[in-house]
Amino acid sequence: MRLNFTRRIIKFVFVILLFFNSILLASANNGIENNKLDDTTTTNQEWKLFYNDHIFNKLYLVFAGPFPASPTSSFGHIFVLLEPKKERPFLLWDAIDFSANITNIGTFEYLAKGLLGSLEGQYKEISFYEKLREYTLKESRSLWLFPIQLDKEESKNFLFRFFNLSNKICPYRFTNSNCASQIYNLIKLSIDESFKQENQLVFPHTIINGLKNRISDPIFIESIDNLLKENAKKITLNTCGSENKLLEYNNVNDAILLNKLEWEYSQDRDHLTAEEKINLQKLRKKVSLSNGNGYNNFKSYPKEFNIHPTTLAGSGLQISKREGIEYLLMYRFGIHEYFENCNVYPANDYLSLLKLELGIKKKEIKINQLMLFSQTSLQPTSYLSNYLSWKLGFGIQKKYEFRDRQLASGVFTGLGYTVSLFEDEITFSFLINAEPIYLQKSGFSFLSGPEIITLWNISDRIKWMNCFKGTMKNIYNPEIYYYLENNLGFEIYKKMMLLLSYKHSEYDNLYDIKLNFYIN
Amino acid sequence: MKKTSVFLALFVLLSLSLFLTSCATIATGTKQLVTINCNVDGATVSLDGVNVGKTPFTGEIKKNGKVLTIEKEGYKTYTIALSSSLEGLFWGNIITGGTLGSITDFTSGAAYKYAPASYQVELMAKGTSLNNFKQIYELKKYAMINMSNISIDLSKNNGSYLEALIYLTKMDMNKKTIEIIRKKLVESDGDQVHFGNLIVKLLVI
Repeated sequence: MRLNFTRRIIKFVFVILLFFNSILLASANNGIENNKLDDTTTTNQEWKLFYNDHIFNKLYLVFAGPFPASPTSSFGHIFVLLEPKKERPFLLWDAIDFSANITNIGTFEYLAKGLLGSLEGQYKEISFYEKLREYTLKESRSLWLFPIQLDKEESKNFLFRFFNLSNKICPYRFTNSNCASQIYNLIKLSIDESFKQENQLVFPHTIINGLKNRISDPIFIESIDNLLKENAKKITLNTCGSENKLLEYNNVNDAILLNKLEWEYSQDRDHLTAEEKINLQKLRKKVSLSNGNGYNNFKSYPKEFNIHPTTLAGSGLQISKREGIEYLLMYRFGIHEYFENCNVYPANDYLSLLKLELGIKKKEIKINQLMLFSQTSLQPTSYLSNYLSWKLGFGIQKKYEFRDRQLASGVFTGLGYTVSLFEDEITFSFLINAEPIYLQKSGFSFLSGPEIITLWNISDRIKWMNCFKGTMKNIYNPEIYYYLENNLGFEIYKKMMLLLSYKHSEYDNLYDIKLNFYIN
Repeated sequence: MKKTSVFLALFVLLSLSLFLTSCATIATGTKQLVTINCNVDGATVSLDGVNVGKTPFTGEIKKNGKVLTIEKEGYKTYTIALSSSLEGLFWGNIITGGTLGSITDFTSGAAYKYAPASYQVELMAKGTSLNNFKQIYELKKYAMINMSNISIDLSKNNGSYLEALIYLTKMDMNKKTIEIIRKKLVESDGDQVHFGNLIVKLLVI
């Protein structure tokens, strides 16, 4: 019976994978017309004016960090920036962006059209200060600027292709006709006219790898919330017990407060009250008249771009006191998990799109975990924000806390908050879980209860996670269980991690040892 | 066998319900409070052909409105398509209604958002050269959007935001110019629209 059940699950997974695969491959021509720069077009007056206006010294490939609030932006974003030949302040440089036109569209329609490729996308030219404001302020994302080496002819080719595309509508698809694929094709075709355009799954960071022979070390631009966090202590010392925001910060650093209010108001506010507007106005005037505040509202410096591939595989052993030894196989497609070392993804947000763990024992193959989606946000509360911590996932998970192990399928949610110590090196998250699920042996159940998650970033390469969970099964005639889990992760090589776990419930003690490695 | 089918069916249903739930959270009220400023006071603001007020306009407009028109004698009539747009917070209420479309083709004017639900419309006077209009538009838009950062730079007497503003005014970057900009900011009382209007007067065309 168990084997039959597992076969059906595996079939189901294959159907899901085939479905997504067919979407990926159902790609008509999403690419750029391979227009060549010839004598006929170069005499065109409009093109000549455009060229003289846009001629550039250097091209930058800009990677905007992931935006976890939107799963479709969770892989980051790519656009290009032109450093003009004629000297101009960098805030006024031209940015070239390919994005979907998403006005007048609902979430479900957006997801469906984005997957199938029936969204409309367009190249847009926009001033860099607007992109900077959009990403570093409104969406709290840092930027990496990679200089690209192009010779004179290649630069001209690039501008010519962009000139031809600037008013055209192209299909937009999340997978293979997105910001990354379009910009990549645009650059590659400018370098080599015979380049075969990418028609597969393309992520923003994969094109950095694809252009590695042409790009130099990046310049990093800090997001506004990071700048504010660095200056947090200057503000928090003076905020106790006051009700009026402007009085609170009197004689502290007004410039930081002004930047903080701008940041705060840009976060999902649909309007400002009259009082908020007046406070901002007073503060702008006060700051402009103050004499030097030492606050740097723009920060850029060279920084290593440390990002890992999206696919992770692993194998290991699970030793159970009651059930003996089981071999483990793991596959994960997604973004980021706590134990992965990376300076690009937000440190407290974790997202997986597909996660599968199989347990193999003698001739039996069992599913331990099949999550089609899981996202966890454990942002610590700070003077900048009091975000709620939450988790949301749907799929199948083996439950260890009961007196016998069984699969649970359904929705796994939790809501609470996170506090941190030592500049976020240690965080404590308090969540209340609610899980409407179907248990393999007990039928439909509602699980609820508290969970405390402790994360300790011991060093860049060593991380520890502790999870203590109390679970109440069903509301009527409730049964109560507890569960404890400790995990220690080591990055033993750049693309390899060793994970050691100890799981304890009143039924069993389990020890896991796993070796995970990335697949490019 | 039967149990397994129920198990899978429930799993699929729960997964789908998650997406449907996130769809159901989209709708939020039918009206939106907006502020519309214009380079010309007293211009008529109409929504779908119905007069709703004059600039500077602050009031509620219907989210399902289609077209907003701003007109004044002596200026080209400017029309903006109203749209709902997908905002960042994916799992929350993500549709904000009544936003102005981004129109910067300069054929009859231009509009931009400078603060939450606050828009600036630039009407083009008949006979104005496109080049002059564009220069004024770019300077005013930059000054209004970046006013807070310009204030911070003024307190240091330098900085990228101040440098770009002075470049757009076509003045030289020196102490005298910085003092002029500071004076304009103080004169504007920190108000973005007022500051934008004062700054464009500095533009050397």
